[in-house]
Amino acid sequence: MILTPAQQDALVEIANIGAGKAARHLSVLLRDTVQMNVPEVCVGQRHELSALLGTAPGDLLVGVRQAAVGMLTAQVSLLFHSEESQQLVRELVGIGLPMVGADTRALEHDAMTEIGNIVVSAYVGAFADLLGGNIRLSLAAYTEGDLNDVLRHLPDEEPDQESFVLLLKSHMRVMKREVDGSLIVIISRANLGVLVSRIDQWLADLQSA
Amino acid sequence: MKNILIIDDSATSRMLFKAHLPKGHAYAVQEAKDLDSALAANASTRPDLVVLDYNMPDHNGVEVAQRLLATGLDAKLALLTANTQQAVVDEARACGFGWIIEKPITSAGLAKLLEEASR
Repeated sequence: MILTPAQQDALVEIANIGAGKAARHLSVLLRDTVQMNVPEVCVGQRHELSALLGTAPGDLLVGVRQAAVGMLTAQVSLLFHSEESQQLVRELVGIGLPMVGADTRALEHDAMTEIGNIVVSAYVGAFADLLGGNIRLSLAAYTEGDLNDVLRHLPDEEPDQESFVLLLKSHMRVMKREVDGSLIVIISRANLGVLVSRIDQWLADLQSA
Repeated sequence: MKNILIIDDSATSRMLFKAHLPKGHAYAVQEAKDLDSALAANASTRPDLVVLDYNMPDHNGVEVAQRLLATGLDAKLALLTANTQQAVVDEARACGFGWIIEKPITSAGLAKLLEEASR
């Protein structure tokens, strides 16, 4: 493992706090209970992402992804299966947006992007708040397709030729609608060092407090 | 009040809790990371205040509290969680939790809890 047990524990706890805040926002948006599990940390190659995420080849997914740059440089995505995401979107569209004369599909994309932006921002904010660093987020990008389509690099990301990734995965379940989603963070080896250094400093500060 | 039991699967979270205790405090803090270690800690220390995380593997914080209460726990309960959506708050209140504290813990938030729990 490339992380020490203390570093991994810290990373999971920060992700847990971030996912908790994200789940609360999602719960308020959808007026539904959102259950979440303890985040998982996985390490693998880029081509193993499908197995790491538990998706089958050809699964149609909907994702909203944002590039985080700074103390946490990573791709952060909220993923749902395509059919399930439509339930969430219709709920949100039905709650807040006028439907008369509107392009329903565009509204659905807009609503899903907004859900993703709120959830991802809450999640990433926990990293910045706890570790005391600055993290910039790109505009949220709506994508649909298979896993490769959904997770391909954002236009403003540096193409990363390294095949190694560290994956942080939080599973969420929207209870009444029985919709499952994942909040995932993909960090390349090159970008892991800055985050780990910050975590080490944070842990040292805590231990000396 | 002098004995505190903090139950959280994350060693980091438990460390955060202890780091934010008031300087020079006289509390005896016992730690547990899951249901089994919580049951053992409760039996050995008789805590006055139990602080539980909600989102843990196998059993959430409310479920752990219910098991502790079933074994005769006589302590005040506080939930420490990032997941403060209404359903979680309602579940905790129904179980008898007196405090819901949002993660990450702060010195001010912990001081307020300790002061109120001492009454």
